[in-house]
Amino acid sequence: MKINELLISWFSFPDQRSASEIEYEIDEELQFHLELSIEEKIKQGIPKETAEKEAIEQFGSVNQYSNECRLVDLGDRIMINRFLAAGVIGLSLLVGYLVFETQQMKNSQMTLLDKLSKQQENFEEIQKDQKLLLTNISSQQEVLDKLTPEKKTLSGSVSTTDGTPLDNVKILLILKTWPNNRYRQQNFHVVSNDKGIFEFDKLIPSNDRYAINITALKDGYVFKSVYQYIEHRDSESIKPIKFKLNKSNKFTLQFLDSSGTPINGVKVTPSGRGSKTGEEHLIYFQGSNPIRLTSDVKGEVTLNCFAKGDGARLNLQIPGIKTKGIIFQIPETENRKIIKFPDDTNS
Amino acid sequence: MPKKETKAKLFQGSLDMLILKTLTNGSMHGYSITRHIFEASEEFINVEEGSLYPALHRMARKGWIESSWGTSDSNRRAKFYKLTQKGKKQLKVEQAAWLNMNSAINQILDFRLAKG
Repeated sequence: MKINELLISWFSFPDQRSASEIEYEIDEELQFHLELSIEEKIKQGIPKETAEKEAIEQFGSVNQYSNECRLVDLGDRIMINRFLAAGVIGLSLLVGYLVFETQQMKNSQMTLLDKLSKQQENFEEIQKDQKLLLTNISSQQEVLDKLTPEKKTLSGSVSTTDGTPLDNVKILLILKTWPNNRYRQQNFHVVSNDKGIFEFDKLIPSNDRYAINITALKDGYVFKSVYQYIEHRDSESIKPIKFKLNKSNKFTLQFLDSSGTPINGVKVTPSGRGSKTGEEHLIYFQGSNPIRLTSDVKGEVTLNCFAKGDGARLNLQIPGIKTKGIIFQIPETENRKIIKFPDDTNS
Repeated sequence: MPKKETKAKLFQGSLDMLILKTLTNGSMHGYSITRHIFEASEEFINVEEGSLYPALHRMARKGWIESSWGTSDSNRRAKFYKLTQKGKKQLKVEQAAWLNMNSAINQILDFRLAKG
């Protein structure tokens, strides 16, 4: 990269998407390519399994290219993170040095505490022995886990902010796994029971890395999501995921064409929410069918999953027009917004 | 009809030029771009498809192309790329460099044949 291009990239307006959004879009883009490639091969009469194998061979290493795209899109952030990490390490070393010096001074001045110190050492020896014992037990457990790679259950609960369980909450799960070092993305959904409990039975791989994006959504409440990437699984069971949902505000969108006629049949899918406190919550397009809304004959659709002041991101599928993504802020005072096509979404 | 059965390896840097040239035909998603390069070269150039994506993201970062999400022919969400003014200028630069290099290589080949 030339010097002028480097300076422009450093001082240009930063990418507004979060790191997890960028990763999601890369995964979705590569997934689309592979699926289309497989479909075309199947259309040519190639059996499904062979088509999948050939598509992956033609594509090359999904992991490698996915990582290269991440490096391009997140390169600056990675550099900043490295600087921060170096700073944290430097600070830790400084603090460690100061603690060490203080301890040395204390030792030289407090000779009366020598006996207590020896007792402390003995106690630490015992602790070390205990840790070693626990490590052995843990290693044995890991071996057992590898021998029995049964998938684990992901569970959780949903309640209101005052702790009242919420039933019938739609829980959308995107599960990313890398079986045999090949990327795989699947979607699932369940609803919470009358105690607010939900469960995805035996889905999570026991001995492999995985990532999840899980979203809780119920009409009348502000939706929330949690993203987790687990590089190395420990032997413990998966921690339950707890959602506490706030009440939402109803907000109506009306879609009109350039002549002012209402557009019936616009499919509206919430895809992101930025709260006033800066939290980001995501809904993947893949697997979002259960929460998709459609505009009526007045061209209207009512959203009831955002709060006033939230940054709302929606995916729109307009009949006869390409898919559009729109971002806007839910107003504090008004509860309606008119969107005209194609003008409003081209801006 | 395929010209060669073996895969052709691209010269360093020529993938960017092929992508820019392909996008002069209009907005396309990654899969269409690979198919276009394959078919326009009469199935001679068969790049490893995944290698296209880091190149596309890098070129978008340089401002040569722009990306946006849209709907594919199969009615699925897909990322489309289109050429920018900056990309058009870059294509001219890369085409000129390619023709110069091509001419220089031909001169060397002709020279060796004459002496041989």
